[in-house]
Amino acid sequence: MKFRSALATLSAVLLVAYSASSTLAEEQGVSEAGHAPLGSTAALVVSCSGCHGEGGRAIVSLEGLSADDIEARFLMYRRTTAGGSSMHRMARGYTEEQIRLIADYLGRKP
Amino acid sequence: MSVSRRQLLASGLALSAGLSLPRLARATRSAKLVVLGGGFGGATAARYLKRLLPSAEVSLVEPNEEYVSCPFSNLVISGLRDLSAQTFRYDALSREGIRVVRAMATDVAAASRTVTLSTGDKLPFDRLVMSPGISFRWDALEGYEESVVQAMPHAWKAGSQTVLLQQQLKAMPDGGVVLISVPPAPFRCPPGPYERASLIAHYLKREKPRSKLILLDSNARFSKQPLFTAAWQTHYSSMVEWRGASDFGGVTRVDAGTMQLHTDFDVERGDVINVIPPQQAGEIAQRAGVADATGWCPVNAISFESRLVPGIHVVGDATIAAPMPKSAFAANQQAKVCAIQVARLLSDLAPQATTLANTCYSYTTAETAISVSGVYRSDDGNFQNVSGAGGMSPADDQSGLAAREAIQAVDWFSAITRETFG
Ligand SMILES: Cc1cc2nc3c(=O)[nH]c(=O)nc-3n(C[C@H](O)[C@H](O)[C@H](O)COP(=O)(O)OP(=O)(O)OC[C@H]3O[C@@H](n4cnc5c(N)ncnc54)[C@H](O)[C@@H]3O)c2cc1C
Repeated sequence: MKFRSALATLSAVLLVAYSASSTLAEEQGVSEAGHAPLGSTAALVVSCSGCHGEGGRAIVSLEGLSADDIEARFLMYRRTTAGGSSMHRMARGYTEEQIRLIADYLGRKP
Repeated sequence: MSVSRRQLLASGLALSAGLSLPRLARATRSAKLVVLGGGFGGATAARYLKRLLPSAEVSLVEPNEEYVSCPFSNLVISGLRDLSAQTFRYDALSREGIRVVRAMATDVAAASRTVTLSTGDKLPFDRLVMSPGISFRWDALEGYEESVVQAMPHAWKAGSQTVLLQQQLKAMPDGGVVLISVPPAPFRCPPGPYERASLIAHYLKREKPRSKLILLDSNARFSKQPLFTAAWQTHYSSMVEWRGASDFGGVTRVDAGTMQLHTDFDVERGDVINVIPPQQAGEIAQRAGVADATGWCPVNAISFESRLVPGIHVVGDATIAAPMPKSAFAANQQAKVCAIQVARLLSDLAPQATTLANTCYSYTTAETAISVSGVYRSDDGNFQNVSGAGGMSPADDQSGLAAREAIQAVDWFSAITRETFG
């Protein structure tokens, strides 16, 4: 009995010590670019869902759009100087690089 | 992570072993996260934290069983919408594994990292996210106290006050005078008072066309001013009058007995009086020590961590985030960014600056709306406008944008409330 519980403790300590080497960051697949939920693109993309939703009714749902579609539209909003909608006004605040990252993140995966 | 490790950590064995673990593993595995306030900021923060950190214990402290949304409440006041369309529950959050605690937080002890609840219970936290919204400064306007809100509703926290103002307008005789008192900025929803004036005028024009509406404003300028002014001219001609600070419009004293508002030079009597009170961060912010002398909460714009109390993050109306406005749109978005940064901190990753955006729609009639947008960077720990971006709907609306924005607003409301409350 005693031996068994000592063994259990030991293996628990070893397991926990081992697992500590894999950080939460790794588990979440965090990297600075990429599609990681804690990465910099994720923080950019959370600006979109307040209007475009995560499925369901929204101001233009992005569901089903490919990354290229999203990028092309976003860039169009950014370029159209005469455009007065809120998306036109906001698109001007994003760089082409940010737009590509956002489109890649949100676009339908093949 | 392996299931066995998760199970181990839940057991006492792992807990005692935990004492010798590196900080990282301990913090992430057993993270206790408390969110205070179940509004646009708090409910969103809780959902995102749980999604990003499934093994964390996420608690949401909120005294009310139902949340009544301020956005779109001006439509309720003018009889265009039912309050039930604005009312949300927390069932979806509970289903997602968030512990919804129905209580008021009465104290926050930063040193011992515990929240005290109205039930007497104490909730320990590794990190606390506060989104307590606003409280009214009862000492800031002579004659205005809590007992006055029945005679002169504020309707600036939605619910029974919204319905009361609607009923008073309904009961008012044709030819009556409606007064709206606007407090000094900053206050919740900068365009809100002017949207309210527009929609009340919309109601009066149809139902009580001999009536008048006067805005008595403590400010010299206001949000979307040229667009609202033009809309009032076009749709309500002489029915709406705005008196700003440069015309001594600011209310200095209220008298509920005689139904009068005093300014520096005038006294106006109203049949219906909406006093929007001077504001500050929700009371618990003062008690937690995260509000400064202005009554609002200074935060690091990158992480939303309080500049006054480490370990506590603040989002939403309670924060000093200008040029970001005190809007539901901003609260929801700040909450999402904050959740990511809290998850990064718990993973020993430095918080990262990002780009945020905001759009506030305001109705000018039942079928037309205008908007103001902004894009912001958080690089140096303060919010800054991204130059060249943002701004108002065009004044010259050739393309019928105002009608489209009225519909976009409905779709926005639908998307943001689904993201916030499920
Ligand atoms: C008339 C009007 C119209 C508006 N229209 C719009 C609009 O069209 N678009 C827009 O974006 N914004 C709009 N707003 C602004 C919007 O309502 C606020 O910006 C938004 O609610 C802020 O969210 P928050 O989480 O900071 O605060 P809130 O949504 O107020 O949430 C705070 C929550 O904290 C809880 N709480 C407070 N103290 C405690 C405590 N001690 N313990 C536990 N819980 C506590 C409260 O019960 C509440 O549920 C409008 C506001 C008004 C008044």
